[in-house]
Amino acid sequence: MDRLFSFLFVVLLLLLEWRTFRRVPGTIRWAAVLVLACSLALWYAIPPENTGIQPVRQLIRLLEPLVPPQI
Amino acid sequence: MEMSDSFWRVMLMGTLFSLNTSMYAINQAIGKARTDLWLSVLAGAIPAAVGVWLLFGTARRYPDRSLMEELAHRHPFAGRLITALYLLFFFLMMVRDFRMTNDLINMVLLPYTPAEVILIISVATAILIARNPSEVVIRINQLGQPVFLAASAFVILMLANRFDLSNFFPMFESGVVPPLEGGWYFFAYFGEIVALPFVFAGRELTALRGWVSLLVTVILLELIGFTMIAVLGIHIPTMLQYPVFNLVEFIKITDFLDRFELILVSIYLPGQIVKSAILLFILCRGLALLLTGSREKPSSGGAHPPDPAAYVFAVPLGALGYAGASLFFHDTIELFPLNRVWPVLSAPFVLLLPLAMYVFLRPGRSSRRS
Repeated sequence: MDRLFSFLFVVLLLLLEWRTFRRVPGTIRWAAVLVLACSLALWYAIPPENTGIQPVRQLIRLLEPLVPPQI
Repeated sequence: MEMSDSFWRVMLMGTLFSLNTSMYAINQAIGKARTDLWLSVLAGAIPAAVGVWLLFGTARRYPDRSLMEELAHRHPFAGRLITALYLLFFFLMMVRDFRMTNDLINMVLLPYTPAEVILIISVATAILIARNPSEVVIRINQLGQPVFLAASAFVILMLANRFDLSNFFPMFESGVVPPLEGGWYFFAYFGEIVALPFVFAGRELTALRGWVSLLVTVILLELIGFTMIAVLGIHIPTMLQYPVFNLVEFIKITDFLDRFELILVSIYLPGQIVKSAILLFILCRGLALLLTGSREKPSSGGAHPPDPAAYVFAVPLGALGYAGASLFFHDTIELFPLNRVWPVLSAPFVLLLPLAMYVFLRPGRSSRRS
């Protein structure tokens, strides 16, 4: 249900931006479409209960050795 | 008159970036510093003040543009690379702030509302703010932030009747070093003030204004920390996720204002959303600059229409922030280990890159080269 809600939200916002999308140069327009496609792909391709994608956990593991040991 | 207005805008924006989220670090800092939290706050502020001096000093060299515009224009490769790194950092900050705001609302105010619905409303608000001209985005902060600062200062008075000063003893139980180490948790949050040169034109930024913002932040955080230890002691806050919220729950002003903490939270939350919106605004303009490299109109000091090339990114980047805030974190508790490593991520952007820019980025050299 929340996924449908978020999809409708994006459609609503895109309607809001429709005229802007037509006015901007092609590079900008396609970059915006690409970012939007990435975000939608991220949101719809991964089930919310899936814990496989955890960039923050990876980031913490990556940076943990650099934290001073006494902290 | 214009100068004082400019000073006020920079000061309020500085406190928005350095104070609002630093309250999330109090519990971990108390765990380290125990009764000597005051020293941790000071220890965290000193490196942030150095970063402010370096970055604001660099931005001051370019009075008519923001630092991001100058970097992208004057140094096509290195400047854009530095801008891209800062944008990545700001994106992570925005995602983290969306998540923090969402968790606070979900746990404290609306426990039965689905988290995604709360998040989507926060993100939509941030998108609608970020689509506006820079003047509007800067001024929107002037609505709620003064009230939030005043409320933070008065918390100590409203809870004075519950003080137990014996909570402050023994002082320096483990020496001076642990309180200084507690500053680790505050440094990164104070250092978020480095976002200001990416919003304001250089003529509005002086190191003094940045330091005044930090000073206000430090004073208010000292007051809140003092009140917290005096009321809750040192053991309870370390076990709470939102100790500041639990602290203000103790405020009782007559029977009519029994839930006074809700008023305080309603003052605090818009600031968090405005902060995320300002970060989204920086991301939109930065991405447009990286792609086009064009010089925009001056970023402040005049009401001009926003560049469509910039605000067309508001929805896509907002949607990406929404997906990130939902999916990047395993759970709410993950914000605590993130707090621990966040200074490692933050230090290059608060100290190292500003130092490099302060040394190498000079208008004279670039002009001669061009």
